Amino acid sequence: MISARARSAFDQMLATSLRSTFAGAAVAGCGPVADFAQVTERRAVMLSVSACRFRLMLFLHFDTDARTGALLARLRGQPQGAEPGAPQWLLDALSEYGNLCCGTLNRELGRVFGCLGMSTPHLVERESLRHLPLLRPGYLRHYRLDLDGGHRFHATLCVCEHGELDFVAPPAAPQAEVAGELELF
Amino acid sequence: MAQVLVVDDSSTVRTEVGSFLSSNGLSVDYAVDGRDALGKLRADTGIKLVLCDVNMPNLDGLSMAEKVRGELRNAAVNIVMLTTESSPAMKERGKAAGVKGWIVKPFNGPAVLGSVKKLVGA
Repeated sequence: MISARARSAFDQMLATSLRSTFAGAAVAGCGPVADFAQVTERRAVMLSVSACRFRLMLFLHFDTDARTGALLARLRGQPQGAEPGAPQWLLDALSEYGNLCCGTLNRELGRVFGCLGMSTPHLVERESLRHLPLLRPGYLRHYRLDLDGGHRFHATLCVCEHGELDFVAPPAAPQAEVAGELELF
Repeated sequence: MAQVLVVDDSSTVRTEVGSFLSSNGLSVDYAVDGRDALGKLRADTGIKLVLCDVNMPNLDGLSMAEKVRGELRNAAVNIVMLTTESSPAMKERGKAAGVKGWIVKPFNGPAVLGSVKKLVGA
């Protein structure tokens, strides 16, 4: 059983992660959607975070179309039209965005839970998510992320807990870790 | 002979990091995971710096660093992790493995270029 405030904490941490990952585009809105039918993209990149008390799966949904390619090229600071034509480029880039998003989520969870393990990205078809209820998750929710230019992504969070799970999301860290800078030991 | 070895299972990251370093005068080679990186380091003893992801298939980055210092007995090459991970426990394991530094993704080339060149000896 996952408590209401733990679910709220997962929502909050995911929202933080999505906004951070797509910071290169203005985020117009982020929030839950009613059901899986509203998730229309045909593929997803999946990553998982495992702890002693739960296993979490994060799915970022996407289509492999020119519009998505152009958006990613813009996010990566490439000139319009410069994105490689090969679909593999798009799949690799989306996998890395999934990795960045789940990495942020992993770090947020790490402020509450010790001994977390994060997976590498995996690409799955949308229809495979129809089987998620078979895992009997304590929390399964779908979200939308609206970016400037009218682009919409969806995400899915699926959490399977071991026993009772209750926690509160910690307040924002006073000095956020600066991504991209070198910490020398 | 390369100065920097970029190790990541993501071709997007390899391309992004390698292109930036190359355009700033550094010679770069690539590996797709820790196992591939060990092979490259055995073959090219001139590599001065390894920029390496942690979570990779076949052989993860921290295990690779431990093998570089252990099996390869290479104490000279600088190893910097480039990863989404940042837990204190993981960093401590990195330090124990002789890792020189840690960068949390996403990569910010201009922010690290000066330090990277120092680590390479350029």
